[in-house]
Amino acid sequence: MANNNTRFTALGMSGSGKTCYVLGMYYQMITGYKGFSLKAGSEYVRRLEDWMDQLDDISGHERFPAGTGLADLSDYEFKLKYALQDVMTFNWIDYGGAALAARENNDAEVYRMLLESIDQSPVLYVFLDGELLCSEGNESRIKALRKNVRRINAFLMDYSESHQGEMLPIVFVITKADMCAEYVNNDDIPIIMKECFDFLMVKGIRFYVTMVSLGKDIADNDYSGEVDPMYMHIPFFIGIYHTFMNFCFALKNEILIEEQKNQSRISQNQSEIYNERNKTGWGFLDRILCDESNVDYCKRQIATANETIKSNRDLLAHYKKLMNAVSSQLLRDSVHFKMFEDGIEKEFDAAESFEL
Amino acid sequence: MTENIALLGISGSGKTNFISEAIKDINSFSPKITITCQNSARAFGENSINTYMLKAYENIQWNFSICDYNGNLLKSHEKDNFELRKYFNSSNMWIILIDGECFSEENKDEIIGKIKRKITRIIFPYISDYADKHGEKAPKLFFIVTKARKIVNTFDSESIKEVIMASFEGLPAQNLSSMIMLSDTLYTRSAGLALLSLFYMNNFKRYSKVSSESSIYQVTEDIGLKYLGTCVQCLIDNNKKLMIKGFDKINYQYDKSTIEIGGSNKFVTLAIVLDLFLIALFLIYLIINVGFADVAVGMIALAFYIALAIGIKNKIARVFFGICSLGGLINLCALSGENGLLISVGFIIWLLVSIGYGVSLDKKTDKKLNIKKQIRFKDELVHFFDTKAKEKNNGK
Ligand SMILES: Nc1nc2c(ncn2[C@@H]2O[C@H](COP(=O)(O)OP(=O)(O)OP(=O)(O)O)[C@@H](O)[C@H]2O)c(=O)[nH]1
Ligand SMILES: [Mg+2]
Repeated sequence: MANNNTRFTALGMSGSGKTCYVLGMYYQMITGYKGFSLKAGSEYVRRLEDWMDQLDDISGHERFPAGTGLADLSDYEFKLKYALQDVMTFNWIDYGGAALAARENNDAEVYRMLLESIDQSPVLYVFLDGELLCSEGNESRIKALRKNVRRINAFLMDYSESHQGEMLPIVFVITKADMCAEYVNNDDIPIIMKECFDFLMVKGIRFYVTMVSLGKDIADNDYSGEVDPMYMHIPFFIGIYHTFMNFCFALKNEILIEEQKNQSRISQNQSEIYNERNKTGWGFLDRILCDESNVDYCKRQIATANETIKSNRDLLAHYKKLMNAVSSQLLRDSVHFKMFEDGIEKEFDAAESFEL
Repeated sequence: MTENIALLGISGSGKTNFISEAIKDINSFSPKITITCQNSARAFGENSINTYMLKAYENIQWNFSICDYNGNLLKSHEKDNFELRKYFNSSNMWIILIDGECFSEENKDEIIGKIKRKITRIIFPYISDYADKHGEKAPKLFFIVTKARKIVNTFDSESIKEVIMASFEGLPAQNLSSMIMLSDTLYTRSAGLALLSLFYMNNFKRYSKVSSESSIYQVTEDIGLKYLGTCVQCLIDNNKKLMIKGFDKINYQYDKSTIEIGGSNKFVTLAIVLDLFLIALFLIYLIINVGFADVAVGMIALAFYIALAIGIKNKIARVFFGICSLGGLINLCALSGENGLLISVGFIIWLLVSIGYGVSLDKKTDKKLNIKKQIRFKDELVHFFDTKAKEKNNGK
């Protein structure tokens, strides 16, 4: 893929489940999902495998990875494959929750890296601790969540200000769905989002809300339940949906420009051939004067131009196919997440991807 | 040239058992087919790569190697794992063992979940790694569900296929090359069958193509190859329940007369049954006319001889008792005087003619193998699986 610097950045307070999400998502994707599969780069593969074993074999809170410290941000490299063919490599940046406070604590280096990785991200992930929603009544939930996301909101507003009011698509990931699903129902989510992230409910901003869990029984019997990732792929698929879309539109524009160039090259060569063959307008004289090597040269030029056009189109078709695979999966999953755009809840219909 | 076969299975999936049973199966199958271990090289620490030679009719047909290893090595990050990976990447035939125990979960989704968690998670990265090094293509995959005794009768092949394909979702959707089979080494010789199937698939080219449209292959000259092809196909034909997917690629047109109880044999059977029926009628006639007491002794002797002739193993004894039963029959017939004797001669001529006719029919359809060999070959193949079950039961 042209843009090799795709990054996904995870924001969230300490303990919200960012690290567990990478783990759960990898756990789900490593065995393949609807043709897609992930392969971790060699640097982190061992850690992820050990964590997966730990998650499977140990019970209690020790089965989860330890909290991520300020200094040990992890930059996981993954290769995404479809039907075993390489699609793209991307990095998943997992910051410790403390990184958000780094600026105030004058740890400017971590904060600068955070901003930099967001600049390379097609979407922004914000993790919300589902445990905060485990209470009766929206009021108390909203209160708990608001308090928790105060710092995130400040960060997002800062970001928007420094980017001329622009905002990336945001994927809110509510973790620990196994715990909070019985408290929060489908209709509560728009209310909670409106109350806690009102400033995102404006024109031009799109965000998604998903709920994920490492397994519906994971917390049973003092955290000894089975690991069975639930909807862990959805936030990730939303991410690659936007990545592919950005890429396909960019590619399409590029190809259009190049195609025009090639078309004019073709017609230029065609007229050159014509001129070469019709120097005098006298049939037999023309045949004598015509330099076949010049004609051949032009023909070759035309062939190359045609080939370039064809290979570009093939490339676009290839990515459209991948794009289709992702969007149709998201369409199938669309009951399991919500999409808000311009301040209102909308049905996810992947319409923009069909404009390609 | 030695073909490397990669055997992938987590700890406890039955790798060692699979290898040893496959070798045992093939060797006890027929004296015409042998498989011997040529070389056993230490590799990846405590583990080994064994090289085997498959012979049929004394001709070497296939040299191949299989690695056996401790399943935990798949999860290790040490040097030995690196070596194992290298071996896998050098092989384009992978046998993936799926523990049949996984199928004891409650429903399909849970079975898939369990296979993914326990097996795919460990094995899929190896396939992915292979694809990285081989132009984004998977190796030829052969899924074998082990310990399948319970599964055979509770799952239909369509659901087994679905479960396996859904457990390996990352593979290309139409991974047509993969094969799926059930195996239970305790009661069937499926491990041997699996290995022979691999042999067949791998030696496809040596079987010359008969027709370009169909996938029908028939061997031309090599008698050993022909014999192996027939074995593989017969085993497949007689164990349909174990073959889940991909076996339609093995479509060897062997000479059916060597295996099936064909028309000629059926004719002989019918003639003998008719013969016995007439004898019974005749006996009833005798009892009515001569009296039960006089006939009883002859009947008991006749029944005794026939029982011995059928039951005894030793061939010479069998012929001897066969003659005795004929004698008994003549003796009985003689009770009703000259007419009876003539009738008995008639019976015997009819019996001989019908057997002779059956044999000549068989000869016509296959000149190479004589009738004796044919019958033994048939028994070997048809009872290939039964015999193992019997052996095991006797052993208990
Ligand atoms: N019940 C339940 N608990 C979860 C789940 N995911 C995470 N947790 C719990 O949440 C804790 C924190 O998760 P982490 O992933 O370490 O959180 P984090 O966001 O990476 O935290 P920092 O690294 O400190 O920023 C874990 O130790 C688990 O106890 C889940 O799906 N279900
Ligand atoms: Mg963390």
